[in-house]
Amino acid sequence: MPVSILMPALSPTMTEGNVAKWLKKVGDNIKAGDIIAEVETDKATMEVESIDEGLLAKIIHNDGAENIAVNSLIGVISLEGETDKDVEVFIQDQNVQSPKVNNIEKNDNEINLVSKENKNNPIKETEVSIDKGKLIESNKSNFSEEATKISISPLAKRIASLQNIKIEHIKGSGPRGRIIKRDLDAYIDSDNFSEEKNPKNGVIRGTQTLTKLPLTNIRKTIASRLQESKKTIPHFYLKSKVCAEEIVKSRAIINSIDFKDDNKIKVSYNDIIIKSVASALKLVPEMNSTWNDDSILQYSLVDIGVAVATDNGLFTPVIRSACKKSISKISSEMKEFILKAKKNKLLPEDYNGGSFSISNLGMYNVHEFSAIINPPQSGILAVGEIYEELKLVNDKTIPVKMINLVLSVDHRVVDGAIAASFLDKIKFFIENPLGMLI
Amino acid sequence: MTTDKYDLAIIGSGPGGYVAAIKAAQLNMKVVVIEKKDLGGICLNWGCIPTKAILRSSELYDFMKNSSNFGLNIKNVEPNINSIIKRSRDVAKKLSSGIEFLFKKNKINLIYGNAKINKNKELDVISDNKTSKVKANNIIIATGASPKKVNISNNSINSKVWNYFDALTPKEIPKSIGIIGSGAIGVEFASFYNSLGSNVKVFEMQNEILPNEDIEVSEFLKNNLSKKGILFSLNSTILDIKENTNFQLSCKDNKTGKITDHNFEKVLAAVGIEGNISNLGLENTKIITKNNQIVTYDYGITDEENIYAIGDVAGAPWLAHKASHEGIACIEYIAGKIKSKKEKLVIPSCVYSNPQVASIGLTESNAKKLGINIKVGKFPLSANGKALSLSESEGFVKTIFEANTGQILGAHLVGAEVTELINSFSLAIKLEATEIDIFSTIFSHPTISESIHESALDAFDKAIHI
Repeated sequence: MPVSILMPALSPTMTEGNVAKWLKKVGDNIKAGDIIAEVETDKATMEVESIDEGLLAKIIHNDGAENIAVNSLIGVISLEGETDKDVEVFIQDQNVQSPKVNNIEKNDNEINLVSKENKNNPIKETEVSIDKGKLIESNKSNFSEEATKISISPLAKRIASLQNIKIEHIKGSGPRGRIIKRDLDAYIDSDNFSEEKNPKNGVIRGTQTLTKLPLTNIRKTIASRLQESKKTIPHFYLKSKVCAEEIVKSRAIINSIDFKDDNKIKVSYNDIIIKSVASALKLVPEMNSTWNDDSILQYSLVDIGVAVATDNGLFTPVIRSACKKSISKISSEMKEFILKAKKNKLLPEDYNGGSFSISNLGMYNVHEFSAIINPPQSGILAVGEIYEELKLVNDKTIPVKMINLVLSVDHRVVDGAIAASFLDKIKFFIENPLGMLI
Repeated sequence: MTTDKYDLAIIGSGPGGYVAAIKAAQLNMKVVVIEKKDLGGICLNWGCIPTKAILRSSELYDFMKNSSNFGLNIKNVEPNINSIIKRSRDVAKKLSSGIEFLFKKNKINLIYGNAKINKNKELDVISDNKTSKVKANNIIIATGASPKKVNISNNSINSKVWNYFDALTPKEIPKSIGIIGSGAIGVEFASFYNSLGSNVKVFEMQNEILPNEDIEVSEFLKNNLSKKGILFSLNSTILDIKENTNFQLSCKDNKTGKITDHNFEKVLAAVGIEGNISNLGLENTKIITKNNQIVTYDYGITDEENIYAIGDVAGAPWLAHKASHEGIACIEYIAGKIKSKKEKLVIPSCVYSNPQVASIGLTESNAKKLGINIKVGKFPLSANGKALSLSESEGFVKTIFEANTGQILGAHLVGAEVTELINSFSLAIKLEATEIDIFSTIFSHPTISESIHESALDAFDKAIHI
């Protein structure tokens, strides 16, 4: 029987190669050890050596033929006494056994590569599997997959699959590192496992369980808007430490006023900060503006969005004309918004518009943070907790209440100097609440 | 007095000691074995091997008695007990000399004598009234066990009651024999003496014979042996043994309290064995003993550093193959070759009655007691072609699987040659095969082993031949 010359696998990962050059012509005598062709991959060129003696009877893929699957027939050597007819029949037989390799999706790891009968290995160890309607043949002996295979007992394998355990992370204690049942038992008893347990509808990755939670519309909106913000708005950040002594005092005074109409006022620090920011924004109209691609829109009214966290997500209802409203008015509007937000009853007119927002995480004991601008606005003030700092006053160290502010600004709208003067004005109003009366 | 220094001294040359010695020699240790009496221990000389030899005779005798079933006309077959015993002794002797050869080949020193551990943790070896000292870095105690005596007030009679040494070397076939205990030893001798024509009655304290086996196996064997004429007295406690012309057994029924007397020409005590722990000098060590056995930990480690104990002296199950396995593990530990934690052993056990019994792992009732969700398969040998052609269609293969994982929890076999079948299960369990691996294994035809395949299939309602 004639002998096949096959596209060799130059590495375990090689799936196809090119015929660079035939060094023998059809009809040439070939001795064992002769170099008959050169084959190349994207990485290397290698010589194909003959292990048989005979006549180069046929070249199937000529010089320069590309993307020939490993183990495809590239040529045929006829042995003594064999005719052209024999060679033809042989090639036909080979073609029957060899499906067109190019049909195979290369990125599908499930598919083993096509190979054919190896002349030195007349007993074929062939697996035939049907995948996506294609007939695939694979020759197990050709690949060194065995080397990377994880050794595991059938029982351990079953337990791993029943418990959704990735065996890659398990160290085998059986002969030659084989994973056996007790290794899985030990793993199941370990902390790693309890964390990854019970992944209903989940996708397992490593020892981690991922549970798929469907997105609410609010979540989707938050995601897309803030993603857009971080992608398109060139943020810059200014940080300032502000003395909070005065707003603490003012708030105490305001909240102690008895108006005798049973309508006791109880304002929050945030209400006072809203008023401060509004007052500052009124003084710096450049900041009370938004980017409009080919222009900048400047607002006449000072509308301020205030971030409100709820179980359903983040809302930013807008206090309209905040600079004109009293702190108590701002406070009562905020209370109403918070109530509506929690009940998921905010209307679009409650949260649309505005050029600027405030986000206050002081109540969560956040010292300071930087916020993402809520588009299309041009800035956001991140307010941290009120804390005490020791200061030297008249040769004495006394504790002083402080608050840290971080201002995020759209650099397309304003530059650093303007933003700095804006932040400075906020600082002024917080440190001198009386100024807001002017 | 001479003192020799060794890497390892082993007391006892049974299947625990001699296997450990060879393994140690292979790992280049300088080894000495001290044997009190017979090289090869009980197993070779008075246990596993000589009993198999006499049972072979009774088995062939059974065949010949039923020769007409096979179309053969054999007449006047008579057992010659002296020849049967001689053959049995010859087999034991041959194996024993085989060990002598293996010791020479592996350059293992053998000293006949009694070894005693002294205060310096050396061995004083007394042989032929001479005392020598053996110094060794490590000592393995593999002294085995001896038959227990029947617990009766009239203890002096115990010396006249047979144990397995006597039952293996009878001068003549007793007309009647009462066997106390229905474990492997009791059942095997019952089978042998019944075949040779003795009237046999077996007394068992519990409510089943072979009480450690799966209840279906015990029931099956009891019915089978009963048909052959063996009588069983279950739930029975022996109160007393008297010797007149015959032995008189006084037996109480545990349920009714009724006391009956039974007369036998011979009485065989097969009530278990106890570890040989006396005269070893254990009092000179920190070794702890409990119920006449040495308390050991993984790899035969004892409470005394560098002294180990393996085999019967270290506790149940009292099986030669367990002793050998422990011996190898102990040597590997001493040699520092143990890298991973000790595995829980799954030890098969065999009874060479006719029919044979072989089992491994959990019984059905034990699996249920543990609350395991199981699947049970059973295939009768009457549906197996090879068994039928041998006229050995009595018996079955029972398999127990964990329902979800397909883990093989246990296998319980009764029938012809099942002691050869059980190792398939040992291998499958050791390799952690599941039911699917058994399903997809090709069992050659015609063999009794095919029943393994069918039994596994049956557990999952997939049997072909039933």
